[in-house]
Amino acid sequence: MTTFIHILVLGAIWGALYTLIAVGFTLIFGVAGIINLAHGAFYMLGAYLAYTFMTLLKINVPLSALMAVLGTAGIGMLIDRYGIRFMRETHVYVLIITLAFALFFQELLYAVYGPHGKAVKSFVTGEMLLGGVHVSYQKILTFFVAGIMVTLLWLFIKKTKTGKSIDAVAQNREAAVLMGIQPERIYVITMGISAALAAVAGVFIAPILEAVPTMWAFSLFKAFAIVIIGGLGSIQGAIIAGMLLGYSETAVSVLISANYPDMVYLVAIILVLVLRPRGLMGTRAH
Amino acid sequence: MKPEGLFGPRVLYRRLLGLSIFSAVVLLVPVVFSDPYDLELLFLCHYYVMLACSWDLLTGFTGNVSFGHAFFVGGAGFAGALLNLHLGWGPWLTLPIGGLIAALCGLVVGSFTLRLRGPYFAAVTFCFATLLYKLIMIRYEIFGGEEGLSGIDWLMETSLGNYYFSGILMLAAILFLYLLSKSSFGLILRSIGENEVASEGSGINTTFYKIVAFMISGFIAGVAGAMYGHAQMHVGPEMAHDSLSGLVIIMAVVGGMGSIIGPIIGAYLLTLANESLRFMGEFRLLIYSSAVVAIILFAPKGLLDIITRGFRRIVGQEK
Repeated sequence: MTTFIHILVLGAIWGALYTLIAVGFTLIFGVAGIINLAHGAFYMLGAYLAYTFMTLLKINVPLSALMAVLGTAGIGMLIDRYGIRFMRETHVYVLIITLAFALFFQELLYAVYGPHGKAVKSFVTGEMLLGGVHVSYQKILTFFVAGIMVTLLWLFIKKTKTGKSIDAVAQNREAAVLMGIQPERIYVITMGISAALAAVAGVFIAPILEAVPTMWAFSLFKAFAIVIIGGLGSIQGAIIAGMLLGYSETAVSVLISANYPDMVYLVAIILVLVLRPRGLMGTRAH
Repeated sequence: MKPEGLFGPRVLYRRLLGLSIFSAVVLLVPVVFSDPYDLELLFLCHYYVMLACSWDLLTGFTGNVSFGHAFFVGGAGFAGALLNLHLGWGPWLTLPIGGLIAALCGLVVGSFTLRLRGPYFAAVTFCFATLLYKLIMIRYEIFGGEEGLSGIDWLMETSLGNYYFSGILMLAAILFLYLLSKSSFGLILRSIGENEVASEGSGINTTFYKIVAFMISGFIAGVAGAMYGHAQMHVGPEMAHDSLSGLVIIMAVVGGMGSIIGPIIGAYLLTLANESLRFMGEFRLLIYSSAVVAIILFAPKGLLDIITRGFRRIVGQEK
């Protein structure tokens, strides 16, 4: 019974975190049609900026978190404006320039902070007992923040004018242009939102896992897997697949062996691509 | 000047002349640089040239980005090492067999993934390479885990031998890929890269050609991987790691994709630059990666494009 609750609780927490990372990745694909391999680097920048503001500069937690998220969003928008815009239509180019940026940030953080993990103090201390399983308040906070961010994203897209224009560009770019929407402006905004969501995940994970210069790769692969399983460009798909991956990885690591959780997403990607290439909720044909 | 087709004999002869000059330079280099350290460094250049050029055959020509070139390198490297350690087969057998195993993997993986396009293909190639990496780590009793496998027979007894062996293998691979790219097979691959739907509409079985290109690409990368294992007398999991796939992609892109010559430039340049920046200490990789970002930003078609345009301007063919 405890094992079951353990899987239920930890699976939900990791699933929520994966979802938070993956929605931004799927959003920028759905809107601008680009695979942003620097998405994991935004998550990493969020964690490192949180470390810089909180631990090094001793700024209070809410302000540091806000600055880390906004800073990362700004970097994302600059990359989109000056690195991607002029070659947006060339698929190969976008994949490679974003990969190069990810490697650049890895080396930058390695040179500045060194290879060792940087720990951030928990935002909230203590833990609670959930059906016989100890869960720290930090993890519970992360779960709720992820839920709130995804809900806010959904409300933003459905209710605000900018959000509706993002949705419009994703649905039909030409029609959106005819309605007077400037797609390039929307792309920059979407990249900012996407980077901000990844940074939120990074800020809240910093106290749970340490920040290391190679953490971008792990989160990028997970996001990639979730988005492929859920269907590229589909936010609902990312939520479903994110939770599924969180639960199945936790289940595998608890029931079988801690060596194998990483196999889950790799095998899942291969199975989905072979059996149902457009994913669970995919909108675009391959 | 009379217009000349892409496949006109004069272009072909001029390029073959260029290739012979390059071969002569490769063969004569040890006369000047005989230090084992220099020769080992140039051996690495040869190895990376083979990887970048073979990657370019599939990706540069057909536009299907493979993120899993390390799958071939690591797979053939470990296959060669296991054959050598357990059955005692020498490099003369393990190199071609490593290549064939990689080509076979290319057939299996390619036949059910090359229907996929763009990001899906990139993702699935990446997954196969990472699965191999994880397998090496998890089944450490077979693959040696993090330490890899040591005690493999040497390729040649001296650095000079390694240099010539790898150099000749590299030149053969370049010549083969070059002639292939100028054949009708190369033309079909280019047409797939230009417009896959139109190529299909012209009656070309595009999946078949992509799979064959993937297999050839895998074969050359596999031979290179097995060769690397013998030359280092060691294979490690980093041969199947995604950072190797990334490095190969960056080399080909920095040089210029879809040209065979571009990846050669990229592989030499980045291998030598990486080594010559060693005096910078811990900032080496930062400078290196910033330079890569700058090159991709300012020369998205690669250095080869800039070189040829500069050359044309000097000769006066372009206003």
